[in-house]
Amino acid sequence: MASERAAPTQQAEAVADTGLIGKVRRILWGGGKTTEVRPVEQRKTLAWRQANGRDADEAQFLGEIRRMLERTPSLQASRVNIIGLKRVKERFGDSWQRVADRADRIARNVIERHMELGDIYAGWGLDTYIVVFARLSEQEARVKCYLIGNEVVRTLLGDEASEYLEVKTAVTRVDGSVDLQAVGSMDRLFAGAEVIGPLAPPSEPVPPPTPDPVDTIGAELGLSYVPIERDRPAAPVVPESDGVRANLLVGIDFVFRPMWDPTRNVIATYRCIPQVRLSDLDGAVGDASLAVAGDAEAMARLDSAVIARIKADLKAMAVDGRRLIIAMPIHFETLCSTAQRRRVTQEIGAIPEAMKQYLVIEVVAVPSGVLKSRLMDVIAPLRLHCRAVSLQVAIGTIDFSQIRGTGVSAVGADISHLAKSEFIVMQQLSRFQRAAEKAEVVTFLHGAQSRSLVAAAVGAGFHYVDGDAVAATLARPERIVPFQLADLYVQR
Amino acid sequence: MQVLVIDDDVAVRQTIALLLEDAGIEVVQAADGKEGLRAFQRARPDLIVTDIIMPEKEGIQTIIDIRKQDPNLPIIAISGGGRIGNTDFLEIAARLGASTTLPKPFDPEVLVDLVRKLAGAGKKA
Repeated sequence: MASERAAPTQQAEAVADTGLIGKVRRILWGGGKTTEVRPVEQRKTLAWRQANGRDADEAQFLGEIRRMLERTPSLQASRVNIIGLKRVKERFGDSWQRVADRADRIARNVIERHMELGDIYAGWGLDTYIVVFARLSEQEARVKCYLIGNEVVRTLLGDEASEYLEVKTAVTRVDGSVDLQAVGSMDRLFAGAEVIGPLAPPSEPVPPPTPDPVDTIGAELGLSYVPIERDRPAAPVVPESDGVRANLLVGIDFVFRPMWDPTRNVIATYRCIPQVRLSDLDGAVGDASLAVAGDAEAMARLDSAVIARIKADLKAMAVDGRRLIIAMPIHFETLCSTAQRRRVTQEIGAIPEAMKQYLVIEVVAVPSGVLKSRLMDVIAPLRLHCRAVSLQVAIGTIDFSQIRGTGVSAVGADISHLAKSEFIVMQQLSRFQRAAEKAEVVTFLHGAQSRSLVAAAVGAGFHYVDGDAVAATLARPERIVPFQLADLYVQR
Repeated sequence: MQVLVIDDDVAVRQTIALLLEDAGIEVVQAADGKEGLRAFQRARPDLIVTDIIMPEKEGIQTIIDIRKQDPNLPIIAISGGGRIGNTDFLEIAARLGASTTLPKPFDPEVLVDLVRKLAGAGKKA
């Protein structure tokens, strides 16, 4: 193992010694001339070529990588990984022109967030990124690149969009030319990978060390805990009703985000996140899809689909003995219409009485400046059918004085798409929490993407925190999992 | 003796720097963990004082990263505030590599004494 580790370190030193960062920048943004790349016979390489044919840009790109490698003999081609968004670009079609800059910003933010000291990356156009990790083995670097790419693609297209990701490793041919080799599937990648740092693969939560603390926590929360078998088949997914597939919505998927309660050191709440695919891809961006489902009618249909799914999950929980809390998002706008509110209330009312104690209704997309009277209209009918009602608001827009006495138990925000510096976000979190404390409401934070944001939220006093830095999304709500501050730093 | 002070709160960082400089200790400053790691690489200080809750890279991850490169460098983790008690953060910091911890607010003399003691010993307390 020691010798395996030595090589990356030497690579890192070589990278540092040769000032590769500067070189990469010069090479990639300096308008280098096109290089002729000789054709390669091997079948296994370069999905891009198979899909699109090699164009001048790609030839130039490969030529630049070759020159970079020639100038830095100690840097092996196999340590140069490429994250490609060309297929994402194709998926967007004509819309790409409008979203390219934003997609590039998202990609760079994600990549930079996972860079460690000595790591380097560079962009090529707005859809290709070269990444060199200084201290990871080749296998670890490929895994990390895959996970970074996956996060980028999921942010752009939603959680089921991994198929649009391309991750490749540079290879040098005997004739000196450079080509790109597609890395294997996720499963193959993880076989043999030992350390992947903060980018844990989407996986099941860490099993509890002993059942005792879980029982204790469950009792404290009023949840009786029944261990579930690991290989138990997933809860049946409710088929979407005919009405759900409106013209605007070409498909709805669901994932569940574990929410950490740092005051009790437990994950016992799972937030449902519908993933919407729109006919026009604009706005189909993971969590944000909730807010861009289209018009009010589409939103209402989406909300109905969510209720149907949660009802099925709660029924499954009743059958298999899991006792968890599920947070179910419903649009504020849907609840504003008397007719829609009545329909939603009826649908939620059809959830078995015994299971309503495990349901939290999270009213999302609450407008700024909403008045107490309006909130009371919206909240009151829901309170009868759930454990609690919470509000998801845009951070910095809510007047907490309007919340007291409305029946709202918790208020929170989703920061996953905030394009602000962490410093600014952390200041906003502190102010938000202080205001919430005065109003005596519980707080939650969605979409904490880094440990520093999680630490800031916990330090500020947020009661629930979720996001990639805590735990990946799951296909269904799993079970109560003990989770302590130290678990944030466990290499998963 | 050179000490690297990492804290995103400029007032706290400057105060600690002045305190240490008054005691004849050279100080290098950094505003967050990322900047702190770069400063550590560049300056190779004799001791690090780091806050925990910071943007970009928080203190515990910063300590973990520095420990990978220098297992013996004395590191003092400082933190304060927080409703659930940042003692939790300091406990984790100690478990994951801090030589010692100091909850905010602290007595300036205690910090200076700790710095002298740890930097002098040159190893984990």
